[in-house]
Amino acid sequence: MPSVPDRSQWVQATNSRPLFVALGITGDDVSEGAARYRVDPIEGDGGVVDTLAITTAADQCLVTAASTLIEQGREEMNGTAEMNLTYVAEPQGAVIVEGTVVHKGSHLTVITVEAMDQAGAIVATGRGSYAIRPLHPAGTSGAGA
Amino acid sequence: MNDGAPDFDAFKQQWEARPFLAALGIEVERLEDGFARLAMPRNHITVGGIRNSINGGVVASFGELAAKVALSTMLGPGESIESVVDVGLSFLTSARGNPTIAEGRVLRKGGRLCVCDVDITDGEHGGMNAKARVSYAIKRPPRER
Repeated sequence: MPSVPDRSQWVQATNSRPLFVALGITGDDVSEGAARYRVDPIEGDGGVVDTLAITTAADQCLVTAASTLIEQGREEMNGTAEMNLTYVAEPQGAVIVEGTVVHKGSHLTVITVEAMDQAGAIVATGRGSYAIRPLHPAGTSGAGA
Repeated sequence: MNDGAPDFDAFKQQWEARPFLAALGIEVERLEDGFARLAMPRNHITVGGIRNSINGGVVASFGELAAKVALSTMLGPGESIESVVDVGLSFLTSARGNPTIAEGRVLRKGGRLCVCDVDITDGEHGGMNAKARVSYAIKRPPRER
């Protein structure tokens, strides 16, 4: 059974994380196989979102989108395996970063990521894969990390 | 460093004053021509990944940053970094060192594009956490007529 979190609880938990507060990242939406974050410029950035914060949000999209398809009691999260992002334009104002699962296998989930600014222009596009592993019942040996 | 580039201390201060570095507590440890070594502490902001590791998005942006700082040591008169173009990472192990180290090296700096290689390692035990390849667009000085 997939583990899609309750949206309002997820937003509340996400937005209280010190990392996200520090980088201007907020949780926007989550659903089965998808996640969306918003990135706002932080003080001292001159009103432009730093691409470093977008890169951070992109990974978070991978993690969250992958997490919604984890089968409770049968699988567990095992970390981002790889991520590639191509930046195509400088963002104007806030940026929305969205991740969508395109394939969920038994050991890897593949997610596409797209970042758009307030004008609707694509800022970055990319792809990543997230490792998952079977959850072994207590008393049996599991696979290594 | 190229002629005309600021000295190490001024350069270090200039980078560490930037909001992203200040927010995460990142320090510039060493700069050479085409090389930068950065250190990032474990703290309540940076930790948040799987198995009590540094958040994967932070690791990714840390790699992007190390490449940017390395490139900045090679800019000629009138040149500036226009934007990041590509960020690609393979995550190898969980980043649990204190600090985590990113060493960025310029592989090739052309007239308009620069390609960098980044090793992200455990500053305590020396293991490799991630490998990144980052490219940046360079803004050239206007041609004199």
